[in-house]
Amino acid sequence: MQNNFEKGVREKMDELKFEPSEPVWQNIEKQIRNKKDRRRLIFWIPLLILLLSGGVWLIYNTGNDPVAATTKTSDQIPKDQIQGMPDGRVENRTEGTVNLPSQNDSESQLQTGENPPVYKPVIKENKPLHKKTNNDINQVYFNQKEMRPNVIAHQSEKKKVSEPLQVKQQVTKETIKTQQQLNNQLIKKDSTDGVKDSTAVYKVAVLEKDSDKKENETFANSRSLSSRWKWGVVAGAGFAGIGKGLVSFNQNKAALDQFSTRPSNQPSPNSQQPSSISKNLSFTAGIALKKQLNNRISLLTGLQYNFYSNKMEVGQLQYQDTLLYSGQYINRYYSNGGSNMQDYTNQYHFISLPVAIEWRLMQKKPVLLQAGLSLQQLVNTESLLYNQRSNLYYDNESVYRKTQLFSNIGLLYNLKGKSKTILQLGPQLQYGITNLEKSNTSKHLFSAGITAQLFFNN
Amino acid sequence: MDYNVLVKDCLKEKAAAQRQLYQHFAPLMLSVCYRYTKSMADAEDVLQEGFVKVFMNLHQYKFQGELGGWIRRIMVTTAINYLKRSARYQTDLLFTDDHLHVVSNDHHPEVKMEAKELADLIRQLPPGYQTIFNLYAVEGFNHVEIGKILGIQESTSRSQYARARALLIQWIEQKNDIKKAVYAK
Repeated sequence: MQNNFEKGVREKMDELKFEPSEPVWQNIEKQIRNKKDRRRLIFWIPLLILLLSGGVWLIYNTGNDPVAATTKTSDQIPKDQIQGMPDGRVENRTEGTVNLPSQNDSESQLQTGENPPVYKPVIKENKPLHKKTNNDINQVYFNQKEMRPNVIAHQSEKKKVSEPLQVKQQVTKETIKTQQQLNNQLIKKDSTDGVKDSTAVYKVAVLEKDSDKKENETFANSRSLSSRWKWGVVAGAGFAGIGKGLVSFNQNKAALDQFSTRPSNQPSPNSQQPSSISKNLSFTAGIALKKQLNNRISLLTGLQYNFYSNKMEVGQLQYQDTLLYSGQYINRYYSNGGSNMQDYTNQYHFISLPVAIEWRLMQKKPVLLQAGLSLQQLVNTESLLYNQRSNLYYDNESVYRKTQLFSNIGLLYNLKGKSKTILQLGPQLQYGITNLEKSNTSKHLFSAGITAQLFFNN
Repeated sequence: MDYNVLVKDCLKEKAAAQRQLYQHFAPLMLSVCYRYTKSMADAEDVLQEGFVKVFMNLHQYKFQGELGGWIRRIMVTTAINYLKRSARYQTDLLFTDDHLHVVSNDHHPEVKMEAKELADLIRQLPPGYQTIFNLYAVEGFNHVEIGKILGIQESTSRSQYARARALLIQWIEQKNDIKKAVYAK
């Protein structure tokens, strides 16, 4: 319960005012300008990554433009070409020519452009203060450690603390002389302070060595451990591919057999080989939440959009009813081979829910290891499957597992460890634990690249 | 002075408005910082850091309540964070059980001294006591709130405040005795 004493103290303190020195405002003004400039810069980083990723993706994506392939076939498909399909299994149910959809229709079917989400972070920063001019004086004090009065031991020697006005009596004459010189220095330096000798003596007692500063800062950081969730934005870009298993990520021609949906009991009708698959763009963007569990470990989760792609060569786009195998027809496919080969990009769009642990590897260096799992839902795909019997590529989304589990690992570096915004940057690897397809084929999506995470402290 | 207009102008990044806001509140805020630190240089460091925060977070001011109170809270928080991370205050800010030595002191002298003289006495308290005394007696926080702010037990705050108060009263009485002796001569 507060009483008149506290009331009296408060009234006295409300009367107290000091005029700050001019450099204070100059420094404030300078820092505000710098921080606002930096805030604008950081705001653009995730956006730039997204735009770059989108740009690269668009460049790759134009390779899928079916216009070139359909130019020839938009009028008529020659009958001999239809009949040239392997083993007569391609059935032409419209006698010679096929009515093709318009060019616009075919474009609209193949356009896959999805706008990646754009987040506008609000960034707060906290730059360390400039060094004050009294540091030199402090250094002199540190060198005079042996002359510190016993006031520093106030924790154990309560009597000495309780008599601050008698402190000087406990110091030797020589100490007093040196101390007065130091106090004079301090008083000169800090003219507005006007602290009396006894106060200055006490100042000496409370100063600590600068050499301990780093350790103490580390300690201070650990004390200010936040139990709240921090939110942030995540963006990353790299390359993706399809791996056969945990051992090798390289997809060669033999591995392409995995793309065949031919039932295993049916013999291969010919010896034609599918195109090889090469790595292509991947990117991710989303929001993330982080909670610090202890000094070195944090828990991460969030909601992200993931895009994976890979590239292969296909022949012309054909529109005609074709029998894949018993009972299954398709009316749109790419041939394998021929003179007019083109690049095709297989695209996979996922919404993911990642859960990861972030471990600070070293106490003094802001290097973090992130590892975890991510549950990903396939929301759309523009990818082709190879049918070995008919030697063609076709699309069939129902073949893929809609829900997949990915593992991910990354090594990140904190670029802004002490400010209100924390920017983490580093390489990251993702690997699909579950098979890409529902069948027993061993096909796993993977991606590797650079990721940037920007977190905001509450 | 219309603070709302001033704040709106500051949000538009008008340099003149920012300077006006600073000049209006800086003297009072420097006295707040002065009470929490041990030197005027440290107080000005805190003031500088605090005002940078004020300007960077001014968009969060809801135009409700006193602008001065809002700025003052930022200054107090900044001062405490400064003490926590400053090497010079680190050891003395530790709130260990060694400090738990409750001194009962129901009586208190009349505070007749000048404001600066009293502030200087408060600043002579060990930093841990100084912070708790400022938070409780001057800012008006209760011990539960102080415990949360400093990350200590409520009982620790209570006992440290009692000891800080007793020390301060003892020093005020000593000062009063000295003054009486001087007047008697």
